[in-house]
Amino acid sequence: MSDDVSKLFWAFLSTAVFAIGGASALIPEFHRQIVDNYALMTNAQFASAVALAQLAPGPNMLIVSFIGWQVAGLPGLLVSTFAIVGPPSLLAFGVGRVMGGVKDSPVLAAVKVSLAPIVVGMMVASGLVTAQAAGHGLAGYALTAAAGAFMLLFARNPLWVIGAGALLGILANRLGWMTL
Amino acid sequence: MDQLRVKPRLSLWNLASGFLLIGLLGFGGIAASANYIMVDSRKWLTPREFVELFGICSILPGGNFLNAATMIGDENQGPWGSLTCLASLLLAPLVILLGIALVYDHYSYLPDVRAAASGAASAAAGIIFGTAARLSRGVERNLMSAIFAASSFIAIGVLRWPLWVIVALICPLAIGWTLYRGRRE
Repeated sequence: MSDDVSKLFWAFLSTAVFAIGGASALIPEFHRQIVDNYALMTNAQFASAVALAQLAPGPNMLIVSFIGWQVAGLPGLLVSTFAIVGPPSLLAFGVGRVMGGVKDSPVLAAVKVSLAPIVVGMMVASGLVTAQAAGHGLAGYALTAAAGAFMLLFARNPLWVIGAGALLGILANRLGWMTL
Repeated sequence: MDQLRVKPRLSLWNLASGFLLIGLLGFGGIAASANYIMVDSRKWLTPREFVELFGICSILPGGNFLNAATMIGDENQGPWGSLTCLASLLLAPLVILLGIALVYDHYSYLPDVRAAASGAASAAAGIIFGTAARLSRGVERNLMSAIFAASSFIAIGVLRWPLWVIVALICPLAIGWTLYRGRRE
């Protein structure tokens, strides 16, 4: 394995074990590993990866595959996907085999209730880290605020919000409100 | 009990084609397409079974639907079923993602394309904030929930601590508190 591919492998494998809350809650951890720890991507590359991964259908966790591709091509994509999907799937496999017994357990219900506020806190942190990585000062933050308000009020398919954001980005750049 | 109900096993082909469609149709979030295929179209699960399955999958690490694919695959066709479901779910989105990446890499020298990606990234941050706000409606309104949410946000978003701190410290505290409160009531 090349150096970058093995960095991707360890970054995502070590995240996979603790990956509560789904991909949208894990953006700060991915950023910490990929941009801060291993310096495999710049802030701008990371932010565009978060945005472009939203364009594809399917599990949000595919942002990891996208980062893998951007860093190291096809080997990066395959290794990153395997690292993030493998360990949780093994655990789910084991839990599935005993599921009959745990389905109605009060401990499970307690875990679910307890994790809910933590995941909300993690997700707000994800929004913050993504907004900071995207940067572009006031114009960027105004766009983030508008997109957030739209999602909260209307709950349309997020693809429309991404598309509108892209068009507004072009407009802001042409008008000189946003420097790349 | 579910164990007493005779439930025919789903064929490998049924599972593979179903999960391929769930991935392919899951633009802008996979929950809707998973519910459509699993409950409405293929009738693999009753609405109640669907909710129960995702209750369990959402507290396990990893992607909810990836975990669900693993469990449904094993239940019907053993370990090969799990692998088939996972691979089918990931196949179409990965191919589409690769297409997007290739087009972006090819045109990213254009200022307009880079500006579009920047705008889309700022909008993506907004989508995450909006989703967090929607999710917060389902959280119990009390002081301890607010404390756990705020401390998770500060630890991860402001102090930029590693994720294991949340899992090793805040999660056990939150679960312990919920159990303690349940016993007291």
